[in-house]
Amino acid sequence: MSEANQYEQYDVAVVGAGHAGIEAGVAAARLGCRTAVFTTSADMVGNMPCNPAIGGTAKGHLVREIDALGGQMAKAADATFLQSRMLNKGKGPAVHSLRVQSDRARYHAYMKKLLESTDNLYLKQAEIVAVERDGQGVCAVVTALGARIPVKAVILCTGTFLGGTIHIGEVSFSSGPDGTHASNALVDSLKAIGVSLRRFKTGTPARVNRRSIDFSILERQDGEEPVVPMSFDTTKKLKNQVCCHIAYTNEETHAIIRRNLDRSPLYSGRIDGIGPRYCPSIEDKVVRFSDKKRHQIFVEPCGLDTDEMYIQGMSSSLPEDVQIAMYRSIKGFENVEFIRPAYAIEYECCDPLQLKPTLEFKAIPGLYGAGQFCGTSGYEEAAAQGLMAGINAALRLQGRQPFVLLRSESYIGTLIDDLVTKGVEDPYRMMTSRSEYRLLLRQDNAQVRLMEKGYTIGLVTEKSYKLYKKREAAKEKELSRLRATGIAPSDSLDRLLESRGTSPLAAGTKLAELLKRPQVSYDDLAPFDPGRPALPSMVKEQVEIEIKYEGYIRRQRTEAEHMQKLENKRLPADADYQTIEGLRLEAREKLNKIRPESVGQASRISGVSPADISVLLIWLEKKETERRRSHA
Amino acid sequence: MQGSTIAAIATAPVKSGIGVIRISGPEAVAVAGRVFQCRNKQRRLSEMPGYTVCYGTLSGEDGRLDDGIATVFRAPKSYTGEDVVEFSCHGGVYSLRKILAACFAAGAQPAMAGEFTKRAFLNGKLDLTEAEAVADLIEAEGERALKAALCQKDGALRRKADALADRLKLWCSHLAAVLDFPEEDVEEIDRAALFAGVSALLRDLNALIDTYRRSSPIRNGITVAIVGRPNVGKSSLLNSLSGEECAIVTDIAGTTRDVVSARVELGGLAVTLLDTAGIRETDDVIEAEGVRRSLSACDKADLILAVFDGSVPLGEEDTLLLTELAGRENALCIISKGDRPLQAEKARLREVFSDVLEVSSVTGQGIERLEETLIKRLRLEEFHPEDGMLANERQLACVRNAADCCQRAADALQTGMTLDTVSVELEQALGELYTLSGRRASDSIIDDVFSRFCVGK
Repeated sequence: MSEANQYEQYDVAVVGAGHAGIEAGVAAARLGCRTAVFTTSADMVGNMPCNPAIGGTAKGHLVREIDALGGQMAKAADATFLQSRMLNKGKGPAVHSLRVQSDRARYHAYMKKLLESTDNLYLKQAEIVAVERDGQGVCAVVTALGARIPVKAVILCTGTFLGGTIHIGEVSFSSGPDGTHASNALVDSLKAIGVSLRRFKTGTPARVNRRSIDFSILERQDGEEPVVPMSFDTTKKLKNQVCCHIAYTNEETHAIIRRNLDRSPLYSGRIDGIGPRYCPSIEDKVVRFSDKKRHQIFVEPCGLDTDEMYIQGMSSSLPEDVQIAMYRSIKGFENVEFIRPAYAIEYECCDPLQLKPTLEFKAIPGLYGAGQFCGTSGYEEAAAQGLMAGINAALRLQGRQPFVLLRSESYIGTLIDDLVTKGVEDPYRMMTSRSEYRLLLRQDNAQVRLMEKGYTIGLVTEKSYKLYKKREAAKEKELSRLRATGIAPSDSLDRLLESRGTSPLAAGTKLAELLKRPQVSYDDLAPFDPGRPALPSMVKEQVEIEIKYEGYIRRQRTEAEHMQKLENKRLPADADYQTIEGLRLEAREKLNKIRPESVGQASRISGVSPADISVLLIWLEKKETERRRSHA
Repeated sequence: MQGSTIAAIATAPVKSGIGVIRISGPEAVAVAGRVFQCRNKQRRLSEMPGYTVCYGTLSGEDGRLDDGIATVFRAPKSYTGEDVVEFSCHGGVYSLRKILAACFAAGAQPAMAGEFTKRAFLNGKLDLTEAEAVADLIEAEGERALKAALCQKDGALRRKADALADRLKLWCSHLAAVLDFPEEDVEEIDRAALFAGVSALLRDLNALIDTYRRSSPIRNGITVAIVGRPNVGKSSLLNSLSGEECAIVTDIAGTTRDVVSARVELGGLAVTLLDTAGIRETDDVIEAEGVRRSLSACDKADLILAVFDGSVPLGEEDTLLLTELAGRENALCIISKGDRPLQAEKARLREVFSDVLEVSSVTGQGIERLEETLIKRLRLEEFHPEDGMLANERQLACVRNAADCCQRAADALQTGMTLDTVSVELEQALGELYTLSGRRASDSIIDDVFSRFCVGK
């Protein structure tokens, strides 16, 4: 390697500029690290190779949490907003989820500009082909052009680029997403420094030309007004600009698929990668749910400057001619024209059990992973990990305490804990059912849960923090007011209660008590509450939820506090579980492999029993007693 | 979980003079106060300093259970280093269990094997060598407890719990599919059907909980009080059932003045027979106390054998007993001296008792029918351990918690709460049932979502 090729050196190198790489790079740079973000193509920064949408169930929660910690995704989604809906209205605040259609090209442009304009951040188009380590940990990255760049930390956000192979029917070729080239050389380098890799698979549907679809026979799906922004900081009024449509497959579509299954690389055994269960290809759905007469598909616009439409629900790895035939069998799609065919893509990723809760490799100091590289799927899951890896890489270089979020305070914490404690068998998608504390972890209160932390770390701006504090104060004041203010029975109140299907008021009560009834909303009570202050809808929403769900919230908090005690019992990194008397064999092996950071984490490892946890607690206390004794 | 308040029987589960129940944890005194009332009405457990004792009454939902001594220890000066209350009571295993159950109802959790000692260690109350022993103990107990849960009745309980869990899981995963995949055509939840499903589950969980009470005769045996006017042949019956001379038998009425008990096996059950002083109005002070005890023995007993002398017509004292026992469902009528001609008016006895049996302590006639009647009365024939039964307080607590969660889910559905709360409650119920077989709720729900529902884009 010639000295002439040597770039300057960096604190942090981020490999990849997708949704994980962006958050990682911006966080590290804003925390004061000299950060290089490498991408194989600067035209792919913040690309959405799958659906042009941000959020959805549990994913919307993640984006809100990223926002509360000072991350970028929510702001970009609002800035490139096309349409949005709050999903699960009426099913309860724990599962209310915001889903935003974003303009794919503008999202990319927004993120590229963000990287270019962030101080301390250097966007570089270069393929990283090697990561080098020395006795201390990672020490350099090497580009395909031969530059060896000294760095102190590396965050791998390689997405589906790492060892990527695209499959379309009988055709397969080395490739990244959307016609980019795969990053193959890095695979061997990572193996050489001790990273254990595995192969996963995912897929995406075709993009078609809007002008070739007959929308007159499709169901419309409009956005909701007024638009709820994704970011807590967005004050600008957003307007829905496009609408989506719903279409359905039919028996003919399914017959075409069945006739051609032998030409699918998945069924003929040419793909070994494990695909995501939640994101099955259309052929998978037809085979596994053969009794379903039709499958629902969504037609989503990719942007304002294009006629490309994303056909959600029609991911496939069948040959192109079969794809065209099956798409054209759909009502409204008779003359559909493809712009890009559907494909399946296999890629290399790591077993996340190799990672600490900071997303740093246990065995390789300074090396971090985030996003699909860690076995997840989804832009939001990727961004969440990118943010946490970026923060932790910076904190480590600055000698500050690591930043780990708890399951009981965030979906981000739940996501990472699941990854590093349970591992993954197939690409991991966040779902609300993964959180045992989901009545606490709502999208409406992400700021309450996390903003103080983001502010302490240094990613939350003074302005956002002040805005949050103001809202928080207003909320607390309103809660006390509602708990203290009485409401008397009256004919008009009884009429309201009756119309909502609940019993009339027998005697006077507090406003808060009345609001506890599921049938009565905060807005309903406005005519009976003359002293009510004018509040932003965000504050009203939280006040209402905190009162209505008080009992549930209190119970979940108590559970979280119990668990917290076990999380606080830290396990030493150098513990040799083989030698701890009383642990069962399976527990010893699992503990030695996963090396949990706390007894709480250990308790979530499958194969570690409550009796094993007792043994660990005693062993810990014994060590502590010995330590105290030797100091005395 | 440390931080909770736990309770257990601290003495060995054998019949002994005194039994101790220990309650430890931050709420120990409060829990104890709900079960124990000081005899001196001025005193409150909550106001007692450490190392003090108090005499009083222990009671549960069925009323008074026993009298005993409560000893209060204040943290950190106790065995565990936490607040501790110990009840020293009479040593019957059955009554200790009843008191323990009352402690659970008052808010304590069942202590795990070795948990008091574990807490003692964690609070710095034990030294290193003791701690080693505790680790071994917990290990051994943990394995044994797991084995017991898994192997009990060839896994009958596990099969039962799994069957209930499977039904619960269907609802949990349907809820998860609906809540996590709102934009896909997953069939919506029909709240009425869900309510019916949860109510059915709740009934079955309660039936399982009921096996604990109903299997109590099998686990703990039963107590049978023998009552009747003096010299009617109660002690002879006891001796004939036990095959030993437990009670002094004379022709003098009122020979038995205290309650005499004998442990016998009847119909495959361990039965504690209580022979009581004859019931009659008496001026003799000691005997009056005996009569009081006889009647109180009736209160404690699972079954009452009311003995009438068949060789003579019913007398005034018999009438007194008939009045006393009228309305007691658990009383059986025994006509003694069945080897002599029947003089007593059987029809009058039939008015009060549904079972009237003629028994002879001399010939043994009628004893076999008595055994059959006992089994019939305890409804043990309808009880099938192979369908799964709860064998210990820990299993009982799991199923109770599951039932509580289901109850809250049903309430939420009825009051119109949103489905997110219902899903959380049902998932927790599933988690409780899974602790009986060592599985995890959330993973299994998610697996089920993907195998049953066509979701994902």
